[in-house]
Amino acid sequence: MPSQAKPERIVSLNVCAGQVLIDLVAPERIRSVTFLAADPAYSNVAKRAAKLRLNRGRAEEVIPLDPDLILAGRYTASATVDLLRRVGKPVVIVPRADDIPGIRRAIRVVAKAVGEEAGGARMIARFDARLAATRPKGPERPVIALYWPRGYTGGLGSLSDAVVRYAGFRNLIREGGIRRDGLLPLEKLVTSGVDALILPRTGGAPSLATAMLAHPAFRHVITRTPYVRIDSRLWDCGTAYVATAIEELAALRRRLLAKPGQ
Amino acid sequence: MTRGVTALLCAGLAVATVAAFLGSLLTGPAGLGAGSILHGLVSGGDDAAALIAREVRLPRALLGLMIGATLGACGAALQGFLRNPLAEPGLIGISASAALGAVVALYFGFAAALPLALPLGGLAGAGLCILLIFALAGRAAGTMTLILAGIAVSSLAGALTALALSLAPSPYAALEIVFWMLGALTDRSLSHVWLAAPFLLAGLALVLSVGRGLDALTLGDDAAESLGIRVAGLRWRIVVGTAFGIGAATAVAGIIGFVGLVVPHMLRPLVGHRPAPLLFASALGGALLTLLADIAVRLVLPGQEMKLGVLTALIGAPFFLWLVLHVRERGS
Repeated sequence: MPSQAKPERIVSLNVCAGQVLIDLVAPERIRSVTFLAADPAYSNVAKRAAKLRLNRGRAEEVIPLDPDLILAGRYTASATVDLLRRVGKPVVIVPRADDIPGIRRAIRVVAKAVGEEAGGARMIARFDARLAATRPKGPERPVIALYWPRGYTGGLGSLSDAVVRYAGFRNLIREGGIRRDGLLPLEKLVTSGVDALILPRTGGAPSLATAMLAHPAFRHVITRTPYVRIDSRLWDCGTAYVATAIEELAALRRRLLAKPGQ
Repeated sequence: MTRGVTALLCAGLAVATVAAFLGSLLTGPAGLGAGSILHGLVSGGDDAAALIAREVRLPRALLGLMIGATLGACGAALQGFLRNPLAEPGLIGISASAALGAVVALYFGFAAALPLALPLGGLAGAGLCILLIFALAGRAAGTMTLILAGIAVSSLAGALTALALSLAPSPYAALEIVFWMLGALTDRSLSHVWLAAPFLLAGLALVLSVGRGLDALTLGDDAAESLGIRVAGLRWRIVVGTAFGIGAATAVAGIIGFVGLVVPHMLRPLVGHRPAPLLFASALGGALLTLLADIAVRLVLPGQEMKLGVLTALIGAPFFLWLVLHVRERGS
C-alpha cells in the first residue's frame, strides 16, 4: 500500500470531521460526507457539503465508493466502523474536541490523514490568530450561564465551558459543580444573579426550545439579564469555527464591562 | 388431519423463509442487481459487489434467520410451558441483562476500543443473569419462583441501564446507547455471526428438544410426570436454551421485541393448538417475520433505515389490539 500518496477518495461519516475535511481538501477528493454536514443547523459548511454526495453512515453506501480513507467519529456506530475495517478499508477516528487544544488536535488528525499537514497548520495558525485578537483584557470575569432547551448546559469539561472561560467569563455551573453537559436547574439560574446569558440559535423546527421561553421564572431572568444568541453549529463541533463563538462572546464581555456602574 | 395441515404449514413456512432469506440478501442501499449480488456471494473477489454480498448482506441475512428462529421458538416454548399466552422470551430477564452488558461496554468505551466488545458485553450480561437466576431461584425452584427471579433481574438490569443513560457524559453518548437498544441488524459482520451462532444454535436445539414434554404437560403436571417427563428438567432446558439464544440475539442485535410473542399466537390455531409442532412452526415463523421486517426497514424510509426493534414494535401493537378484540368476541 503506497504510504506517501494522498487519499483521493475520502468518505466522512462524522459531521465534525467532515467540516474540517471540506475546508482542507478540494471537493474532487471527497467521495461522500454525512448528510448532517449539509444541514445548516449543524454544519458551518452546509452549502459546500450539499454539492457532494451525502451518506447516512451505512457500510453499503460507503463500500461502492471505493474509498481510500474513511473519517469517523468516536460515536459513529461501532458495528459500521468494525465492518469497514474488516473489509480492509482504512478508518481514522477523529477525536471529539472537549477544549481548545482538542480543536487543534482534531484538525491535526484530519490534516495528517488526508495528507494536508501544511494546510492543517495554516488552519490552526489562522484560528490561533483570531483567538489572540480576542484575548480578554483586564481581570474582570463576569458570570455567565449557558441555557439550552430544557435547561441543558455545557458542563464542566465540555467544549462550551472551555470557550466561555477562554472568552473571559466565569461559568455559573462551576460554582455548582455540574457534570459535563448536565442540567442547570432553573431555580439556580433565577437565584444566581448571572451577568449574562447564552442562548442557542438553531433555526430548526420549533420544539421545547421555545417552550422554555414561556416559563415565567425564565422570563424573569431574561428581561433583567443581557443575553446573546450563538449558533449551536459554531461550537457543537470542535472546528476552527469555534473562533466565531469566542469573538461574539468577547464582544459581549466588552459591552458588559463598558456599562457604567457595572 | 391436523398433522397433514401442520406438515403443509411447515413446508409453506420453510419455502417462504428461504424466499425471505433471498430477499434479505438482495435488499440494500447499494443499488446492486440480483445477478451482481449472487455472483458476488460465490466469486470470492474483492470488488464492491462481492464485498457487499459476502460481508454485509450475508451476515445480516444469516443473523435474521437464526435470531428470528430463536425468538419464535423461545416464545412458543415459554408460552407452552407456562400455559400463558402473554409469555415472551424477555420474561426471565435475559434480554434486559444482555442489553445492560452491552450498554456497559458502550458506556465505558470498550466498544470503541475493541471490535466485538459490544456483543461480548451482551453475552457477559446474559451469563450473569442466568447465574443470578440460579442463585435466586435455587435448583429445586418451582416455576413461579423462576418467573419472579426473572422479573427481579429484569427490573434491576433495566434500572441500571437507565442509570447509565442518565449519567452519560454527553448527549452523543446517550444517543449511542439509546439507538443501540432500539434493535438493528445494520452492518453486522461475519464476526458477529461466528460469535453468536454457537449460542443461537445451542439455544435453539435445547428449546426445540422440549416438544414432547410440552405435549405431555397439556395433560397436567402430574400426568406428565407419570408419563416419564421430568417437569423440572423441562423447565431448565427452556431457561438455559432461552438464555443462550436470547442472550446472543440481544447481544448482537439489541432488543427485538414482539416476535417471540406474536408468532406463536398466529400459528397456534394452524397446528391444532399442540405445543410440540408449534415449537418448530414458530421457529420458522419467527425467522420469516424477522427476515421480512429486516427487509422492510431498508425499504420503508427513503434513503435511510428504520430500526428493526421499532418496526417489530409497530407490528406488535396492532396485533395486541386484534387480540383484545378477538378474545372479547370469543368471550361474548
